[in-house]
Parts: sequence; C-alpha cells; structure tokens
Amino acid sequence: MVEVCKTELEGVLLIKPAFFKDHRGEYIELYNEKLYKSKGVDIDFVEDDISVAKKNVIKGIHGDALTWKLISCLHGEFYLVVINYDEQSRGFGRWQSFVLSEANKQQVLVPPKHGNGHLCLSEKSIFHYKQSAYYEPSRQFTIRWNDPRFNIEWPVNNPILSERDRLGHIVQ
Amino acid sequence: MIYISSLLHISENDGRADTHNILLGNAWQVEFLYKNRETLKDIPIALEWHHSALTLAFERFEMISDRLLKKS
Repeated sequence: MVEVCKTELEGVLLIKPAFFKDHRGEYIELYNEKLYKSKGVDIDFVEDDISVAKKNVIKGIHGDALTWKLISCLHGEFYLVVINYDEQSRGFGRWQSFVLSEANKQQVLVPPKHGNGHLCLSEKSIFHYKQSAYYEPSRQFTIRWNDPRFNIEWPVNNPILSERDRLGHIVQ
Repeated sequence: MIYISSLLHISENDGRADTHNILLGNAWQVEFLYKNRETLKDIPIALEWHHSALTLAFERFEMISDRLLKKS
C-alpha cells in the first residue's frame, strides 16, 4: 500500500509506493490515479518526462506557477532539493532535500510556485516526473543552485551545470 | 585479519587522498561491516560526510542500519 507523508514544506509530499520483489527482480506501480487520488494526491497529470544525468550534474532549480510534479527515480540515485518560491507565502525561501533512488523507490510531489533541482549521485540517474500542465519554457523560473539568499546545502562543491542553471535568476 | 581500533571511521575516498567523503549508494564498506559485524559489534562507528549534506548523511546512516539489522 502506498504511504503518503507530509514534509517540512506545506503541500510537498513524500510518497512511498509499495513494491514487489522476488528472485526474478522487482515490480512497482509508479502511479495509479484512483489510488493516489484516494490518498490526497488529487491532481490530473498530462505529461510524463524523463531527464538523464551523469554523476555530479545538477539540473535546476526550475519551476513555474502552474505545474504540479510527481518525481520518481527510475535508475541510480539523486539528491533532490525542493524550495518554496512563492513570494506571497510565509514559507518563501524554505527548502528541503530528499534522496530518491532506485533502491528506496520514493517519490516527491512538488506543488506550483515551488522549484526543484537535483544532483546525480550515482554514475547515471534517470529522473522521471509527471506534470499537471504541458511544459512551457516561457513560464519557467530558474533559481541558481547556490543562490546566496537560500543557503541550500548540496553534497557537491563544483557541479556540472547548463548555462541556464549556472547563471540562474536572482531577484534583487 | 582485522585490526580492531577504538573507533572505526567509514568514508569514501578518491583513491589518492583521504578525503573523508560520504559513502556511495552502493558502498562496499556496508557489506564489509555486515560480514564482520560480530568482530566489530562493540566498536563505535563514525560516519564521515565531508562535502555532503545532512539529508544524505541520514540516508547513508539508514542504509547502514538497515543492512546491519537484516538477518541475512
């Protein structure tokens, strides 16, 4: 049975799906609309995406004002940071980190107006996410991984970054 | 033969220097602890986590605990 846990961030949920394992391998139900809705994850997802990274890559921190994301790790392991980026919220700037891996099979639900970024801890990781809105680049915000306003703790000093993520977007 | 010290430090290094980094997710060190758990049962373990983050340190602590508490 899937277990849904609150986190330190309002609206962000940690989900622990049930999985089956025997001598042949493993089986996991990554998402079941009826079951997840009964557990409070009452969101209509419209798009699935996969992001592959190699070790020491950080992707993010990205988000928009509209989209819910349900994040899973299909392969390897990554360190995930979720940050409240809603300037109207008392929780603005609060962040929490998680370790998602193919071993623990945990998922994280990220609400709109929250950013998410992940660091690949294994040689390769496969980051899977369901989205409640179609991806639209013009809606996206980017927060620099080491934005001094937020003092986010990362287990890396010199990550591999894209140009977008290296420059980020810092609101003065 | 295992030399038994008063404190066992466990970490991941880069092969050249003693960098005291956090364990990898598939750390061979955990299997070593499990195989030698009887010999090491009274030795305190320090989990090193230089260049890491608290969440990852807790996750690695749980990884070690889960393995050591398993029956087989």
